[in-house]
Amino acid sequence: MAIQIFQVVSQIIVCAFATWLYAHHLARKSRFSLRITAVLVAAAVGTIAAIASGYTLYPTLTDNTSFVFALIMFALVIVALTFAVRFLWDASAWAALFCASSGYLVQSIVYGLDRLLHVSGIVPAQYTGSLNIADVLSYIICSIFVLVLFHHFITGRLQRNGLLGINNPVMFFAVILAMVVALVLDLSIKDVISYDVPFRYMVVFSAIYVMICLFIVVSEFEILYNQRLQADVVTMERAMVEQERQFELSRSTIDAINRRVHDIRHHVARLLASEGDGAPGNEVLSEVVREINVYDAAVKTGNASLDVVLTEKGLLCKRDGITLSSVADGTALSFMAAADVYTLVGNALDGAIASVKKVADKSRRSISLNLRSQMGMASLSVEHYFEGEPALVDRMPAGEGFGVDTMLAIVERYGGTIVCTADGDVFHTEILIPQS
Amino acid sequence: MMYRILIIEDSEDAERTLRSHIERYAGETGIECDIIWKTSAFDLAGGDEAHFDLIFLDIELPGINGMEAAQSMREHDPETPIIFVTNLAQYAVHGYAVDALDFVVKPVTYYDFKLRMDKAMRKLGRTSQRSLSVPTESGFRVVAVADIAFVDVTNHDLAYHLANGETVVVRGTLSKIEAELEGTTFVRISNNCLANMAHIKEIKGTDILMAGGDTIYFSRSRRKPALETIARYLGGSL
Repeated sequence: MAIQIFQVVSQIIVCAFATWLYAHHLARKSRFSLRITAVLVAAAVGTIAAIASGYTLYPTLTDNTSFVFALIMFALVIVALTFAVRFLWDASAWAALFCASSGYLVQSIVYGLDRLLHVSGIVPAQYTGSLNIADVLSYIICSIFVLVLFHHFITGRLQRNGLLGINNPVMFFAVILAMVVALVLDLSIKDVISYDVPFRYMVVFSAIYVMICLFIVVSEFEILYNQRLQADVVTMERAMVEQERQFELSRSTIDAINRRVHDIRHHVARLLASEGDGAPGNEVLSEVVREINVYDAAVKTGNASLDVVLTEKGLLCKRDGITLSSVADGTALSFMAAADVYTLVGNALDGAIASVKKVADKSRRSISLNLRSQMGMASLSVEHYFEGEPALVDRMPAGEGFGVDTMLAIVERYGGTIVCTADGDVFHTEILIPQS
Repeated sequence: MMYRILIIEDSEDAERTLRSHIERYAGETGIECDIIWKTSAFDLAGGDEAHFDLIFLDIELPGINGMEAAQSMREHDPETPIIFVTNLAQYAVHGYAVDALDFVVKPVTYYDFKLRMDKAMRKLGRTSQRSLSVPTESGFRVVAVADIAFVDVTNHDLAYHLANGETVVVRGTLSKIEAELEGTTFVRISNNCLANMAHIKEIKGTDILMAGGDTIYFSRSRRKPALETIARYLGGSL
């Protein structure tokens, strides 16, 4: 009897803890302490009921009714765990099912490993009702070993929002089916243990059980969780496509402006020539030429994409009374995709412009951009005045929204680095990207 | 600290503005500036100019234009920082070809000027005259920090690899030297090597090619912090 109590209690504890490992970084629901108390109480009641009725979580396969019963118990446990996860955390039914099934499987692995140790003789097998310290120790050691390994390789890699997008009914159907297979194998092993089967078969079956459970839980993680990450990539790509569209728009706009500027210059030059020196309208015309030159801001850096973004932002700055000066060797970024150049430099300048606009003194609205090839790397630096507290988290400006994340994503994709520093009243953004 | 600054500008108004900015900057930062004004870049191109710490160069000049003069100058003087002063933003964008530090657009406001001047001062502060006293077997040897390409350590042997190809080996630890070289252009690129960023020619993955021809190992664990330091060095904020 004591052994059964120990088994039930320890299995429930490990199962709950394993499920918690998967679910704990989700957003907690309100009055979490109250909820968790309720869940613990329900679990305690369930445990006592299970013990009182004389069953463990894994009934045996002695006849058909007990097999059906085993299936029902299995389903009940999964459903109860899923409900518990949904009750405690803000998760979709699928995410909760993912945590529940994974937690259950981890428990199965612990249990299977413990049985393997017993069956292989490493831990002396006891079939009497009294509790042996070796059994307790064996189960505890297996739990710690498996849980630590799992946390290191799997649940430790779960991201804060990673479980939100899980939604794959077909996959779950397959997982549940596989778990039923494992359950049947388990029941068979339990049954067969009581016969006089040669020792080696027991070891083999027990080992196979552990491996099946391990396979299911790892596959579940890879397929479902990584699918979510892929969805993230798709979102990013969509944002990139949008940026490309804007890039094309900017480019055609700038071409149109350039053509107009060219035409106007031509007309003015002809006017000046026909009027002759000293004619009364000359001063006005010269003024017009100067104004036009401002809009002939067409920048030629040797990189078409960079030209577009510098011209576009240059015009924006001009309109807002911000001085933007760039010393840029466009060829430094020739290895980078056109859309990436536009997005990276565009976002950097957008951030600088937004920051500089907040400076009260208009004469301090100045941005300086430098791009060149050095040390086999592209070195891009943007400096500008700023006011107020520079919110820097992890050396990156915080609270700037998607712009900064995109910049970081692009830079990291090319194996580069970004570092931001606030030095008195000047903010520096420095980016270094290897060119090969 | 006395800085010799050359202004090459053909417009007297523009020169006056720039000069007053420099004087105001000098007053605010407590440095001393000796300002020379020329209206043409011929002397600069011809290589006749005496040594200056910083040059403000107008691009649109009569005779030889600023950009061409700078190209000639760079042939024998790759070091002196140049800041272009210009109306024509387009031309200045190509300032990198002559390794120009930056440029300012006329009319130059004080704060536009200050942003670039600060950068120039930081760069000038880098090429310091610092030197190390290295305790060799035959007594103390004074080594200019700027002459050291990299320092590496094997067991307890500290090797100073100088730009001229010489290597000075003494006993010591790298951490102590790292502390001594704090605030200079040295960066830790691996557990047993400190490299002088001014002597780095190229970085290719885990190989750093030095100007003197040596290739040293860039460890993966030091990569991120080292690259950040290099980014700041190249960007001019260090």
